[in-house]
Amino acid sequence: MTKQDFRSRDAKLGFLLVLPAVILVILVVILPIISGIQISFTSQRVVGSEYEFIGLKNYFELFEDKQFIASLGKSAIWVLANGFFQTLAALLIALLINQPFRGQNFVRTWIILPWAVPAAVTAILWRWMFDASSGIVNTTIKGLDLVQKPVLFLANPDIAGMSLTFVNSWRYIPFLTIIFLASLASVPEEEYEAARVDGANPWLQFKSITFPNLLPTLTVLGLVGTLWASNVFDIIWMMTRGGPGEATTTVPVLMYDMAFYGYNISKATAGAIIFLFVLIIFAFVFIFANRKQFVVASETFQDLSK
Amino acid sequence: MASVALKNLCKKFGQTSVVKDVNVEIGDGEFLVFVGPSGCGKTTTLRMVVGLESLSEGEIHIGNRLVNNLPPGDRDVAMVFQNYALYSHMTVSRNLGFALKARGLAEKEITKRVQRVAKMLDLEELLERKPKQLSGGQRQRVALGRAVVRNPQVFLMDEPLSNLDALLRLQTRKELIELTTELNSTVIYVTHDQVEAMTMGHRLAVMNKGEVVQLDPPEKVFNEPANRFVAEFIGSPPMNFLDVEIAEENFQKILKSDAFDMVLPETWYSISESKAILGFRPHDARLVAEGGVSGRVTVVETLGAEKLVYLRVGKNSLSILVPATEKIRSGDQLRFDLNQDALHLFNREDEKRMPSTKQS
Ligand SMILES: Nc1ncnc2c1ncn2[C@@H]1O[C@H](COP(=O)(O)OP(=O)(O)OP(=O)(O)O)[C@@H](O)[C@H]1O
Ligand SMILES: [Mg+2]
Repeated sequence: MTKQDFRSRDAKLGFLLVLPAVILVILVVILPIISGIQISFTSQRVVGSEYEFIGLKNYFELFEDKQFIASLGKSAIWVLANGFFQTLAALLIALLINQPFRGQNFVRTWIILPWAVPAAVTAILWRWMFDASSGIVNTTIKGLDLVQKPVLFLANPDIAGMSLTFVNSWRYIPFLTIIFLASLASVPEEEYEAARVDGANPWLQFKSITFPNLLPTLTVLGLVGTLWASNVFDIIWMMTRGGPGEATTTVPVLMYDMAFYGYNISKATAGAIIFLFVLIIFAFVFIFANRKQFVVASETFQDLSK
Repeated sequence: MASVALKNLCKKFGQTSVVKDVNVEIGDGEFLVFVGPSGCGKTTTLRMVVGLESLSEGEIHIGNRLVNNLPPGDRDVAMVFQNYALYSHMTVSRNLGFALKARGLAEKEITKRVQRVAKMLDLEELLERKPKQLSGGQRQRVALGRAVVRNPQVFLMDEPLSNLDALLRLQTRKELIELTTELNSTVIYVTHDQVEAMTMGHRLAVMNKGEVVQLDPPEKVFNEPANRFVAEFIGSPPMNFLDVEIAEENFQKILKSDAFDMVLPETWYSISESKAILGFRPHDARLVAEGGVSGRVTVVETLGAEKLVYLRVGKNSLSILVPATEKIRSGDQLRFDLNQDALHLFNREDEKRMPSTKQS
């Protein structure tokens, strides 16, 4: 057989191997989006009810809907707060447990635990701990004389967003920490040794060796994390239902509420489609602006898989 | 530049002793080479001097300072790592200037010194490149430049030439000698390459299994190896060894091996042992028509101007160097004589050199 034959055979085999994945993506991603776009052009109120084609009416309504505009803002704040807090905390934890200490392997393994807890359990657990009268958090800070009155972690509109950010971060920080640890492990040890001989203090070492090495990872996480955080629904719904008032009503929460409690599934779908396009545009801009880092990151992952 | 003193240096990793009681004083401006086989503790010794490895015992003095407890950055030593350890995310120029930046020098002064070193090492064209975009030889020069730019008390170099191809290694070796001579640097240099050690070092510290077994200038290490290990390790092709008995007949000392007898020169008459190991280098043998030692050729290797001939002499396999013009084939019977001034005798028990009165 000639080289050419081998190549075309390889190409065919490759195609066969990715085919199931392609079919799966079409079934669970592309088709729902297409049918979602269809529904958004109709007047359907609940699943299975009669409807007619109304064109872009749902979209026009949404652009004048103060609640929807507000939820976009809430989502933006939610993403920024979560992204900032989680990244910073995970990076600090990763740097800390990357230092050699006794029990390091134990910590490195079990730190993943919160991530493995189902969202429903997490939500119930923290609602219970945040409880105003008997929650462990309030009894503790009161016992330490830090506060006079119990803090309404989930009922105070000024605090509820922060409380949710904290709980959501509690879930995701372990995962991010593991990613950072993997990334830190790929920084060549001898660069640190050279820097120590050169007299660089820990901060200069971080700035000039650690950080540049982490940058591709940070960039990829910036994208993935934004998309993840944007779509968080379970924790918010189960802990505050978007409240108090509309203090924690992000776009996914509003759309769910509109579809199943406001009985307007076509308008909610239109809102979801708008949100999807916002995220797609963000992703494109983000990737384009950081294309260099993405190339480095993909090379790194290729190196790691060798 | 400064002198360095290593006193009773010991290093243990857990239970295993890796460096054992090393005592070496390196003079101001001296080029000292630690040479020895792989795993003998050269790198560990160097890492203790630079401060990347703690000491189990002993003292390290640089200049007149005891530096045992100083962090690497405060010892004022520069290190060239075996794999260069360049900062992969920095340009050549920033690699060179990093140590100066860490010391808080002004940007202008840094640029000036980086420029000067770049010129000295022919790196001017490469200043804006990243290490990934450099060839092995260029990386090596950057690593060297990073050390030179600091103007340190001592240079430490861990096999800096081992990643270069043969030709480039020769050339860089010459440049390194010129550079360190010009700067009058104190250098501690680690290599397992005995040719490199012989050509570069003012003195050699030959290491084996964590111990310094000989500390002498290269000629002396070559001509009067302290024990069988040094004799075998230094010199290429390696020295021949065979067990001999020493008998006294008619007021002469006679070397007896299983295949030949030989009268020992008078310079050896002070020894009293009756058994020894005889050592001679392949180039200290000379073909003769009659007399001498006789052996049968097993293998012939052509090395260029010379041939290395392996012979079976009695129970021993020996090698001798002969001019390439000699027509020799395996199976031939040969006779050769040994240069009487270049014989080495080693004790059979501890394998130490037996003294001859010729020695200084
Ligand atoms: N961190 C460590 N823990 C345990 N043993 C070590 C450690 N570092 C080195 N060793 C051991 O110490 C011995 C000496 O190592 P070292 O690196 O100093 O050898 P070397 O002379 O530099 O060899 P080479 O020529 O191969 O570089 C080796 O047997 C090695 O296995
Ligand atoms: Mg080594």
